[in-house]
Amino acid sequence: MLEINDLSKHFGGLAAVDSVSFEVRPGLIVGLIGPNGAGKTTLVNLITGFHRPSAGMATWRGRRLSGRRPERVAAAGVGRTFQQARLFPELSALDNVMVGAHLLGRSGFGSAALRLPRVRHDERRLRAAAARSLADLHCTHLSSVPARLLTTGQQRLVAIARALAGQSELVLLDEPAAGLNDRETEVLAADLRSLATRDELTVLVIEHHLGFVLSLSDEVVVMSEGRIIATGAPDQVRKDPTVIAAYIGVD
Amino acid sequence: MKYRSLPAAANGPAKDGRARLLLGHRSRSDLVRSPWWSLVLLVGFTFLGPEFLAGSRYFSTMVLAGVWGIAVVGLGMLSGYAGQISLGQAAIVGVGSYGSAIAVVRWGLPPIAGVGVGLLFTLVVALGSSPILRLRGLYFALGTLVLGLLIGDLLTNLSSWTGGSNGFVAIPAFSVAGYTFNDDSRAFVLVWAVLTVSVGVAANVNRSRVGRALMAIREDEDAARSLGVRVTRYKVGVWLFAAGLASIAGSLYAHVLQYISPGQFGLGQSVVLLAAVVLGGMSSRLGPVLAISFLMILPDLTQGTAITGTLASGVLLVVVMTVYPGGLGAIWEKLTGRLLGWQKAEEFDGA
Repeated sequence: MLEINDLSKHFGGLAAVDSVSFEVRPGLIVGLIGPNGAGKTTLVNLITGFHRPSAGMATWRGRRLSGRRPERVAAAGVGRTFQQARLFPELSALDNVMVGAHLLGRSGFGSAALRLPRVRHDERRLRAAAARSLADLHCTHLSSVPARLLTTGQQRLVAIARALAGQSELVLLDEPAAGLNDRETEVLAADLRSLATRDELTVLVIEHHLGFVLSLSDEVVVMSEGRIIATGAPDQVRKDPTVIAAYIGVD
Repeated sequence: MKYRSLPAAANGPAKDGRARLLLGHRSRSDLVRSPWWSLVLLVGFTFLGPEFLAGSRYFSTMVLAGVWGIAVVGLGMLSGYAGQISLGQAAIVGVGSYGSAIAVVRWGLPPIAGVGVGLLFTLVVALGSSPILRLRGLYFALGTLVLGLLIGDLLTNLSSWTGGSNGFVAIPAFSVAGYTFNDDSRAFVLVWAVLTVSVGVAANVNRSRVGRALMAIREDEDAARSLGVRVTRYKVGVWLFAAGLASIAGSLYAHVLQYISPGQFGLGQSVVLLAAVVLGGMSSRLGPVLAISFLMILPDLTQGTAITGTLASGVLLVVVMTVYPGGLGAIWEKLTGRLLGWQKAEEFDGA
């Protein structure tokens, strides 16, 4: 379970995230929506160690995430994507996703230098994990293409594959559908659904695109100006007057 | 390896010729390519080189090119793979060199123990200076530049240890188990054999999980962190690795040239080493070795003209960086990529 307790982040006098608390149960897909500047990305950065919280904390399966370094958060089984895909441009899609599977390997400088058997073992393991992750997102055919040559939509899908390849149990997706067309968005929603079921993957999706989030999510959390203004099932949230008010004049 | 044989026709952007060419270029990246072909060439050159070069005015230059080549291999990992541009590599070579000289000349230890002492000195310096790895990009380069200047000053000023600006003269030739490498041929084989091993070791690191993590750090440090790559640890690792190779190069340098002084390990030489990495191709295996050989021979070639070696290598560096940033390695891959690209196309047509 992802538990967020009174998490706050102040930048100078501005409370970007203001005492936010909620829970995400394992295997669920939770949508995090809200107008621009609501603090959604800051919240993800707090959970994944890219920002230090001013107060409060986030835990995953009882282990504290907030305030740790990002690489520690990843080691706790928590993956994330960024608002831009941020692939490694000179690496092929497969190599990108193999970096995503980095934590499944054990070999270091010494064993790599001597190419000990464990290095070959690691390579096979990482390649298999990456291939599987690419296949999960229907990107196998892109494996050998350098990331810089992929379309924006393809880059996004590969970035999601990369975030999942290390066998993350929880993944935080920052606007995964931005840059995807309607058809790709539908496929992505179906893929995330089946991963949540098959691998008991827990997903927190930030999205502007209301239709995508409401159709995909089991639960929705709505933020505005750093605070949570509503939570509940998609249908409830859709009708919530405070939510409608927050979106009017912004959207 | 399997993904390399995926039909190019299935890849959206790979349909036009240019994209396929790039694709071919990348799919045979160092991450999968086995280094044996480079190593066979290097082993061949190690043993046949003295035959070709006997009596040539470039013989001793090529021995020194091999020595600096070892440092270039280390710098290729640090600056080429991991993207941490260093302007202090020659100074680290100096630390290893002085370690050897002090151990052998002052303490009377055998040369092989001198290599160990050099590595120990280098480890202290590299670990002590590792906080500069927190600096990013240009600031890191500046940090290494300052480190290099600092080392240069220390080598001059700790004169009771280092002999001041005169350094050491009459360092004995390298010897191990009673065998002395006391002429150009023997020194050549020793140096180029060590260089070959260095290239092999570096290639092994680069085509592993570690090499992939280093490239990830080069391309996007924060994205790498989000995937669990322990960035600081890998940076320190590659820093020590590059320093270790520099130190071994330094020990060999002391025994090959038999005299050392602080001026030989200055900023100018660091720039030459970095130029070799850039000219050779940031992630090529043989490219940097060829480039350092060329840069070492250059002053001989331009002797008697108004063009100094430094001027020529500087101009070359600027031209390559503007016109062909991938360096020799990319030119080579482009050539072979074109050939293989055609082969590939035929395969798919036939399939």
